[in-house]
Amino acid sequence: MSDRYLNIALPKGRLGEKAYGLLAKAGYECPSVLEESRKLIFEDEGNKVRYFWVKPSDVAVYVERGSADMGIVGSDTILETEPSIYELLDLNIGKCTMSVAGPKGFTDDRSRVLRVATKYPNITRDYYDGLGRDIDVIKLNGSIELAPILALSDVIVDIVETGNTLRENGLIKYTDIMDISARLISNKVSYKFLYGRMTELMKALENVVKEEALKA
Amino acid sequence: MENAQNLRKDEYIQLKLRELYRQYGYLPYRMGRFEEYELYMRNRNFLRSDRILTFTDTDGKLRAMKPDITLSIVRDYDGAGLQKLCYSESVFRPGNSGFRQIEQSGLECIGKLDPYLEGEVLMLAVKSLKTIGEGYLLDISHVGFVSALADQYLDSIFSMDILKELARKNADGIRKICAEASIDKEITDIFIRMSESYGPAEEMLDIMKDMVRNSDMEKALKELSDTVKILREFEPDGKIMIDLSMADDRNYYSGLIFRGMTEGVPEYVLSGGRYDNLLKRMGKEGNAIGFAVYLDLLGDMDESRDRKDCDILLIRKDTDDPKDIVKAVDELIAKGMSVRVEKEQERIRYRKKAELKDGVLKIYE
Repeated sequence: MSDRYLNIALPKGRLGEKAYGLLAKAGYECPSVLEESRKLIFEDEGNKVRYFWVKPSDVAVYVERGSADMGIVGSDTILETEPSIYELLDLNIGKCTMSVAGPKGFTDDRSRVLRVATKYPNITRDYYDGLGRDIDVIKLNGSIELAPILALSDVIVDIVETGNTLRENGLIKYTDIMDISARLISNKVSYKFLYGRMTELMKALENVVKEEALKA
Repeated sequence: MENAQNLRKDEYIQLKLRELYRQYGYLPYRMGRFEEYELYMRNRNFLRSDRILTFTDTDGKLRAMKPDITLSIVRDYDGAGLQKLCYSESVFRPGNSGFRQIEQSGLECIGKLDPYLEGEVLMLAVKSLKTIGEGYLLDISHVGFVSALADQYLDSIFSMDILKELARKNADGIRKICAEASIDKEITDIFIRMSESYGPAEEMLDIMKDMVRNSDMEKALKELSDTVKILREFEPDGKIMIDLSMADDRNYYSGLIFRGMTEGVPEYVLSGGRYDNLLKRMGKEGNAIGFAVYLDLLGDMDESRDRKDCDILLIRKDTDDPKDIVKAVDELIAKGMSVRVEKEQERIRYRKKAELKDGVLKIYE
């Protein structure tokens, strides 16, 4: 069993490609991963790793249910869905903030319920609970910035990377709720049976993350 | 797993576990009645979920489909001496899509406990895991060891946060909380080691010696190593590991805590520990330890996936004499095989196919 493939779920898209870059530097290469194709599963016999691309918000599901032993996922997804997994390493990539944004000149009228549009209802509720502010969460699946413009909500809670999208839509970032970055996660049971290999991978990856931080 | 009774994997394990627990003198506990909802309401902190399936009984009282067996066993405990009980029951808990009926086997040992009794319960946990499959691990820890360090250096909020991050083995999260709480590097490093270290019990007990910073930790370490010593008498080669990151359930567990894993099942199949708090909550003297095996998870094991519907699929033709068919079926069953008689073979998973040729049974390889 110890020489079986280590299954790693990567989030489709730029973050996943960056994360794979770090893994390759750490010695877990699988050159076919970056080839343009519709294939979703890639194996490297030498390293005994198998990568697969899944929708970013699904990574934690694959890992929690053991179809992937490890995975790369944004800390926003972890906080929102609270999967039962181990969160082994901050990869220091995909950095952004979870923030409250709203139209220019917005002031919170405490005599009214605050309407908040977001993709992250749990994080939003937690945050406003902590402030003791009564809110109405409006769960959306995309184009969150549109909500305050069309008066669907007063403010939004969303991840902000450069702030360009906000600016272009005339919105202003008011408060940062938390910092977000990509994390290496693992299934709790796989971690135990593959402890040696997983800690080796984690330590190698940790060194690469440190080197990258020095370069920056 | 092949078994003579032709049982599903989880049914077979359930039977074997009952046998095992009886061999060590654990008496069966049977819950035929429905508890009043109030029992679960009053002790909701000791339940995994506070959502309970309720109904109004014929006498107008609100009763519940049991979400848990332990509460009933502890409630029935009369405080007289040691009670060793085992059970095999269904519990009703919320799942992803509504309430589910989950099969659970387990045991409870209630009374005045000592390392011998703890060792015996752990041995039965190891033997339970071995019954399920040879690829297994039993992780153990002591809730007091970790929380005594957290309580010494952190206020209750930070302490709760750090145990939560520890349970996720989130070293970066631990560092962040320690920095916020102005914890020095030495203690931070201990928390990090608690999160990252994992290994055979004896090796870990050695590592834990260096982590001790107060008398409560020392006491917990001694309790844990005494119990491991006894367990080793029973199970010298048992795959017993220590994982200090299991410390988030301190409301429920008060000392020893353990979880069992089977290769090929992505969740814990066994979970248990010392739960003296529940006895105290119900106003009873003494200690309690127990564990449950989650049989429902075993249905997902690979072996179950190639399960066959029958050994022999006997294809019946309109021209066959029913007398010949009955005779053939009886013969096959007498040989210990299961037979399914069908006109067509649609969607039946069988080992061998057979038919009658001129009234004589012919089995195809």
